[in-house]
Amino acid sequence: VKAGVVIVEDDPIVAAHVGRGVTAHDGLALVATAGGLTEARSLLDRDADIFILDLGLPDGSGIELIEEIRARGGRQPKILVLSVLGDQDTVLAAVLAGADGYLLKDVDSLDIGQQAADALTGGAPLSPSIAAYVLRHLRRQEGRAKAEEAEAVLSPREVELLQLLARGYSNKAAAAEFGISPHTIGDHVKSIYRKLRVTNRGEAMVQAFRSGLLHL
Amino acid sequence: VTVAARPAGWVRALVIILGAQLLFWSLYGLLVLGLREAGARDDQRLPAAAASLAVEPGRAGAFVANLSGPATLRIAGWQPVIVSPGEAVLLSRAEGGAASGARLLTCLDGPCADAATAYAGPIAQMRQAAAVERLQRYDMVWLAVAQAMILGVALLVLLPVNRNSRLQAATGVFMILVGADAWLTAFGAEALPYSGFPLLRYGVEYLMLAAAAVSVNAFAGWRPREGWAAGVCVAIAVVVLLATFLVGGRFDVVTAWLDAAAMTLLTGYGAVALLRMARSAPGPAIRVLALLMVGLASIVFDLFLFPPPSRFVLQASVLAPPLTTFGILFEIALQGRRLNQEAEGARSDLERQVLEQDASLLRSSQLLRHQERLIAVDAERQRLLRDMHDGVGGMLTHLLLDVRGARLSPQEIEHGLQAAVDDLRNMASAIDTGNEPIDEALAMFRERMAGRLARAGIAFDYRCILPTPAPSLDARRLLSLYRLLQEGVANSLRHAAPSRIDLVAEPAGDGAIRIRLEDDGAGFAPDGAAGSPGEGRGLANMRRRATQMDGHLGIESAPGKGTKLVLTIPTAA
Repeated sequence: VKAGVVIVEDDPIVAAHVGRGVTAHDGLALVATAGGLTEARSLLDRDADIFILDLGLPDGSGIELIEEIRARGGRQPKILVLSVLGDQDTVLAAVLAGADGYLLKDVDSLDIGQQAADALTGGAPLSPSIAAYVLRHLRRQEGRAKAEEAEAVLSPREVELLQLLARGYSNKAAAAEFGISPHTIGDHVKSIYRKLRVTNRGEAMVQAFRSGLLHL
Repeated sequence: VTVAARPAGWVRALVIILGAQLLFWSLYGLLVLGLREAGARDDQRLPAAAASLAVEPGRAGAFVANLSGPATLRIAGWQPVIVSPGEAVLLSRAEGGAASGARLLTCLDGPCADAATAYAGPIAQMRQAAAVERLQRYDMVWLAVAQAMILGVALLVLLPVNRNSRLQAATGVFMILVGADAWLTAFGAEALPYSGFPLLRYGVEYLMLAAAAVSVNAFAGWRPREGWAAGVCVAIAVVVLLATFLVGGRFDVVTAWLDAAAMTLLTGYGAVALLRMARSAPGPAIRVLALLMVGLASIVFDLFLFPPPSRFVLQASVLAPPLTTFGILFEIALQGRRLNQEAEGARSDLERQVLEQDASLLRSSQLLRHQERLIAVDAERQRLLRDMHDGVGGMLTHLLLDVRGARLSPQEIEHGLQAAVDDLRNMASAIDTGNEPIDEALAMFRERMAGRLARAGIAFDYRCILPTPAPSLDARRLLSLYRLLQEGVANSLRHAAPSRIDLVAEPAGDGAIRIRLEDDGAGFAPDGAAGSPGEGRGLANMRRRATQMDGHLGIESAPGKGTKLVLTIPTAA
């Protein structure tokens, strides 16, 4: 059974490029392509397995869409964000809102399919850049208010894992460093994502404002 | 306002003057009542009292008021006794009881004073009467001397409290001189039996009067010329006294004239000063007037209601000087209060100024910070423009020119565009990752390149053996590093056809870090690289980047041996 993919991207060239990558992969099937928020919302009931979405949409921000998907409950699809530069503000806003990762828009279409499939199996670790961005975000928060979100803080082990991943360690290398199985590393990563999603909704909005993805 | 204020001013003046009189006379009345109780009664006056004394059941005694020296007291039916000033004596009955008929009182040192009056009665009452006279004639003088001295010294010691007020200093000196003068007048002749004594006594007296004048001057608003005038007057008096002493003239005649002159001058000056004050400071002038009225009333009371030698129990004028002293203290306290209020006013004024200054300082510092921020933002924009010009701008321009000249294949155009996008990502990453640990920065670079190299069949390995936390580079130097590595990887891809590329970061001693980028590709002869124009430009570019970050670039390569770029960068950490 192929996993269903929904693409939300207003630029038809990029949408077509990503679509080619999805259809070229054996395990993926393109369910639909949306050019804006409204159209994407009508697709939420289609039970897609992966959303690949752009943040800067003509009728709103992809951040809002991520929030809505994560707020639905039930089976949670994977969400990958399309980014031109993979810069900190954009990626962090998406990750804090609940995205699982990001794709650079110019990546080879073969790689797009592979990375989407990796996200689906949960095998993909946090990329070094996401790990580094999240670490910096945590450090900034720590400097700002200590007690405020005490329950939100990651465990020391998770922070240590983030540091290893930010330094470019692969899942396997990190597992060797910790003396545990790579599978357990995957569990840690899932836990990190879960905590970030639960506790950083507001922060995601702040980041989105900063990067110009949200306007008032 | 002045018209409306005038009646109120007069009422106030009247209240103050009458209040001072009321205070004085009630005090006087209380004292007189107290003393009268303790004194001898008129019906105990001798010789009339001798009759009642004969039937006195208890012990009888006698007392003579206003004695100047010891005297013999003879009462019919009683033994003669010797009485001393201010002392009561016991009487004992004479045997035989014959009346002697001799004089009642015989003073031993010449004739008795007219005021000398003998009393007889119960011994306890006589002793009390004697004690009252002692108090009036001797102890009161000592009390006055001590009070004046202590007050004067206290005023001088407390000068700093009133910020060295002239009034307080002059009054302090005046009070000390008053004490000295009182002592010299009452006891000096006996204590200092020298020929020069009158010189000292009258010198002190005129000095005291001069101090009084200076005090009045200070009180009425200081005028230096009047202060000098008082000094000159004292000097004249001293010269006259000295001349009298040297010539051997009569002091009592000379001082009578001097006293008259001094009192006239002082009274006249006092009146003038009072008039001056009435204009400049009506409040204190009225208070002085009230005290003067009290003094005048007390003298009139003594002179006309109870003229000597009748001598009422207590002379009212005795009480006037303490009241004056009290008045002076009151004035000094008022002046001190005013000074303190002025100081307080000046302080709060200063405080307000400091606050205003603070506020304006804050405003200007905020402005300054705002301007500094603008300058910093401007510098940052300039840097960004330079970076764009130095990297992606140049690449796109070259690409555009080459495309216009139709010199490029589609693949070359793709490579050129890819390089431009890579440079943009390097810029974004340098901005995000500047001043963050360099191992993270290199991991991101590897992440950016890994996918593309993997599809080209090239393994890209990254190892970092720097201690954690790793040192960091600022955004400018990090961008130079990214661009150098980007160029190195691009060169490998373009010319060397490697199967693997290794990126290693390691410590190089002295806080420097060494970054190695190695491939196992074709390699080249570094000396001959200039022969190929494209490659030469690539190498020169990389060296330029190394210089931009204060680093050193070593290139080791030989045909068939791969290429090894070794970059050494000093770090602050």
